[in-house]
Amino acid sequence: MAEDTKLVYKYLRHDKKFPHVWCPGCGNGILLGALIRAIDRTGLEKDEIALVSGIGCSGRLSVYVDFNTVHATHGRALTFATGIKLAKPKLHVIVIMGDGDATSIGGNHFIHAARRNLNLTAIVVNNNIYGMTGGQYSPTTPYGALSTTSLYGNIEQAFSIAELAGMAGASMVARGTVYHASLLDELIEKAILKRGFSVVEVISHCHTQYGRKNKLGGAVEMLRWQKDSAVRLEKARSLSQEEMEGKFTIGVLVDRDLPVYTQEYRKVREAAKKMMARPS
Amino acid sequence: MPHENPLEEKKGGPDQGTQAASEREDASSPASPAGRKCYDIDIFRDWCKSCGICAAFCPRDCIELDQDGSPFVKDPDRCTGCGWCELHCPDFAISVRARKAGKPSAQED
Repeated sequence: MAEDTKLVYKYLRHDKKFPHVWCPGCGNGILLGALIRAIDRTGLEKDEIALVSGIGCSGRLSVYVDFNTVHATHGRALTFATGIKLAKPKLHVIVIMGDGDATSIGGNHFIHAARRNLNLTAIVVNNNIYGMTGGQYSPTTPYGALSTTSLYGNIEQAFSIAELAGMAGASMVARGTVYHASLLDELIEKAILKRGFSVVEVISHCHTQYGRKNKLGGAVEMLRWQKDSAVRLEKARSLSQEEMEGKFTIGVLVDRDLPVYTQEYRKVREAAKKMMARPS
Repeated sequence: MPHENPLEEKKGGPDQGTQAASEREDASSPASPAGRKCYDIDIFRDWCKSCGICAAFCPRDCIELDQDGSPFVKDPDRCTGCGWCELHCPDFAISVRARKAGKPSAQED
């Protein structure tokens, strides 16, 4: 509704950077909308948010928003975010990464940020391919899929980003699609408010590279695929394995309370101070 | 209340589109049921990249694509204000707002 359009004026650099660089129908634009709606719902001020993005199509997202932003190096968005969070723990740090950015170049940073459980929100846009650099296969390209570097079909198995984050120890893991935009608003809002490392895997589409190479159609057809393949977690529990073949679950997959790094670090500082104050 | 002309109904023929067509006429007639909220869909041309998502997914077929593939609001009176197009427009180029009483449809400009 028109209220959403007002948010564009509030949170986006609408007078400088628009229309954005993404292809017509790109899921990144839908995610950007969901992100500003989620941030508006949390009631946080613009200055309380630091948005860090990596390299790739999704990395451009930080350019369009009017928060504290960093456009970091490839795969290192989480490392910059870790530094920002430790230096200024009051900031709500949101990290936007692509699938290649998070799980390939920055794969090590991703699992260790999850293990450390720093209070960050990581949004991983999964479009199954390296879109910006020319359509090379990424760690999330499905087995057998075509890309410019897998002309005879991808021979590697794909990562499941949400499961990886859950196993690595993230406090909250959710998966959404850009088709289910209202659900995505809720998931991102929950992730921002969650204390601890929270990951939202956003299933998006790259019709320009992945869709064209694999003859999946344009943005409309790929959104239809998301609509047909996504199953809400509550519903997925009642379905058999055969029925879930080729489908994926969306919703909050993991939600648990674990010790947060910044709190633990404060304990270390207090213990060290006591030790120093003791007369030798 | 609009009274449907029985002759017109016959003209429509027995094909499956008849019911939908008569529904459309109902909704778009100026005498549509009092109290039903009307909405206007604005498309901001400067930002629109003609991806076609709004036209493909509009549950009431209010938006269609012209010959060049650009979306246009065909029938704003059918809009129920669900806001799907506004939520999913990747380019922030659509806004749906409630029509103010007494204001003509945006299409009549």
